[in-house]
Amino acid sequence: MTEHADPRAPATLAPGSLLAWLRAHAWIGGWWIGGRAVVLVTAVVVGALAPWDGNGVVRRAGPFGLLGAWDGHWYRLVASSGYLLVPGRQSDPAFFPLYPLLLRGVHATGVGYLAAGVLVSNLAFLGALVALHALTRELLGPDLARRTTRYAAIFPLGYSFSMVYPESLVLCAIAVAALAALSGRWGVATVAGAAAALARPEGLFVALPLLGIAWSRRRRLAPSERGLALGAILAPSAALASFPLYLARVIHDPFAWSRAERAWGRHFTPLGFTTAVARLPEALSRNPWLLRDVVALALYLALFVAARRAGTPWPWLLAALGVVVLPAFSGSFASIGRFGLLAPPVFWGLARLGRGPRADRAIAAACLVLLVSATATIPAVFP
Amino acid sequence: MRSTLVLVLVGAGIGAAVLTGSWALQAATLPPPQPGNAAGARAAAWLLRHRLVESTLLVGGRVVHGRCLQTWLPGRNGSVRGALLQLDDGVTVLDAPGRTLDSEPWEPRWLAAAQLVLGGCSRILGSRIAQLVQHHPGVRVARAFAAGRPALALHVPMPGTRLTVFLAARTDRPVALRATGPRFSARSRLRFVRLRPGLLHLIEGRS
Repeated sequence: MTEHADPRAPATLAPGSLLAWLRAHAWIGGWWIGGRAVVLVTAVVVGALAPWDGNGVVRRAGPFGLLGAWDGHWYRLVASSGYLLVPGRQSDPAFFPLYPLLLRGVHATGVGYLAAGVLVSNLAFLGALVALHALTRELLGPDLARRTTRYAAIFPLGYSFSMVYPESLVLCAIAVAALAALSGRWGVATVAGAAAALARPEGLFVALPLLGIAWSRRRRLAPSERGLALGAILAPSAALASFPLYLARVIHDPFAWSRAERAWGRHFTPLGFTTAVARLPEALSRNPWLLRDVVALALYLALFVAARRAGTPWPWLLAALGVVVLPAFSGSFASIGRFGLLAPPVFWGLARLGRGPRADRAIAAACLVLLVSATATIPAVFP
Repeated sequence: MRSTLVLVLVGAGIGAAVLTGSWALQAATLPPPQPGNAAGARAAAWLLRHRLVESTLLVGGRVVHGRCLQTWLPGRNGSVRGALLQLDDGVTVLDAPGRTLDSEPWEPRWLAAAQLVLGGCSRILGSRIAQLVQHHPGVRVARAFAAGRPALALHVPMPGTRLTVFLAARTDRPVALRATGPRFSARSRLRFVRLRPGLLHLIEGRS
C-alpha cells in the first residue's frame, strides 16, 4: 500500500517546523484562493445577472445567494429547525446531519446560515486540499500529489465545494481518515471516517481504503492496535447507523431517509442501474442537463483506469466505483457528477493524464474554463 | 485466540462508542420538530395518502355536499394529474397543469380556488400544509372544537383568504376547515374515503 511513499516525508508535524510547513505548502493556499475566487466571482456575477433565480431564495439572499441554492436550502432548514418528514413529498430527512450540525454551530456565533454554509464549505475545502495533497504524496508520490491538488482546486464540478453542500467536508474527512490510518493514528481515522459517513452516505466507502491499509499492516500491528484499526473500519457504518436511530427518535420513522429519497425519485433496487439506463432517453428529454452527469460518469470511469495505472491501490478504486456507480442503482444518473467529487481517484487519474507539461497546461486551462461555465449553470440546474 | 478476542472486543467497543456518540451528537445539537410543525406534517400525510375526500360545505347558510378526487385528467399533451371536485349543486371544478381552475363559466376564479380547498382536495390542501410546515419553523396550533370534538386549529396562509384547518386531537387527521375572505366566509367538514374501482368509475363518468 505504501510502496510509493516518500520516506523523507514526515507523517507528523513537530511544533517548531510549523512555519517551514506553512511556507512549503503556501502554494496550496494559493490554488485554493485562486480556484475559490473564480467560483465566488462567477457566482456573484451570475447571481446578479441571472434571469431566473433558481428556487426563489437566490437573489433575495445577497451576493452569495447563488451558493445557497438547491440542496443548500434544505441543509439550512435542517440546521435551523431539525428534521420533519412529510411522506410523499420531498423532505429534509434526505440530508445527512453532520453538515447542518456544523452550520448550526457557526450560526450560534451570530453568523447567518447562508454565510455559515459558505464559510464551512470553503474552509473545509482548504482542509481537503491539504489532506488530499498529503495523502496523495504518501500513496503516489510528490509529483502526482502536486498535480492532484491543483486539479482538485479548479475541477469543473468543484463549484459544489463552495456551495452550501457537504462535499468539501466529506472529501476532507475521507482524506484525513486515510492519511491518519497510513500513519497509524487509528483514533483520528475513526473520528474522520465517522464524520465522512455522518455527512453523506458515500462517506461509508472510506471503510474500504481503511480496510486495505489495516490489512497490509496486519502483521506489524499489536492485537490492541488491530482492534483500533477494526474500530476505525467499523466507524463509518456505526456513524451511518446512528442517523436512522436518531430519525426514529425525533420523527418516529427510522426509514425516513429512504422515504424522503423516494420522493426525490431515488429508490435503490438491484436492477436500479438497468432502470436508470432504460429510462435515460425519457429522462434526457425532460432534463437535458442530465447528460452532464452521464458524461461525468463515463469520464470518471476512464479516470479510474488512469488512476490504476498511476498505482492507485485497489481498495481506493473499489470505493470510488461505489461512490459513482452505486447512486445509479437508485434508478437515476442525477448528480453523479457531484458525487464523484468524493472519490480521490478521479483527481489521481486526471493527475496521471497531466504528467507531461503540455498536457498539464491543457488540463488546467480546460478545468478553469469549465469551472467558470459550470458555476454559471447554478441558476438553471442543481449540481 | 486471546488476540482475536482483544481484536473483536476493541473493534466492537469502538463501533458501539461511535454509534452512541454520533447519535448523542445529533440528539444534543439538532432541534426536534416543533409540535405545530409535526402536527401539520401528519395532517399533510393524511391528505397526501388519500385520493378521495368527501365534504360538507356550509356557504352563506347553504349546505352543499362535495367529492374531490385526485385523478388523471385530459390535458393539452396527454393525461395530467389533477383534482376533480364535484358539488351536488351541479358545480364541477377541475384543477390540473395547463387547465388550471376550469370551472363553471359564471363562477369567479377566487370562488373556484376556495371551493377546491374547502372541498378538501387532498393534494392541493396537503401541499399547502406541507409547504407551510416544511419551510416555516415554529408553526403554532391552538386548542379548538370542531366537527363536534376537541381539535387543534392550524392556520394556513392563502392569498386573500384566512384558512384554518382543524385536526382531530390525537391523530392530527384534518376533520374540518374554515375559510374567511373579503367576499365570503365558509366552513366545511371532511371525510376521507377509500377509493374503490366502482366509485372511481362513477365519479369519472359524471365529470
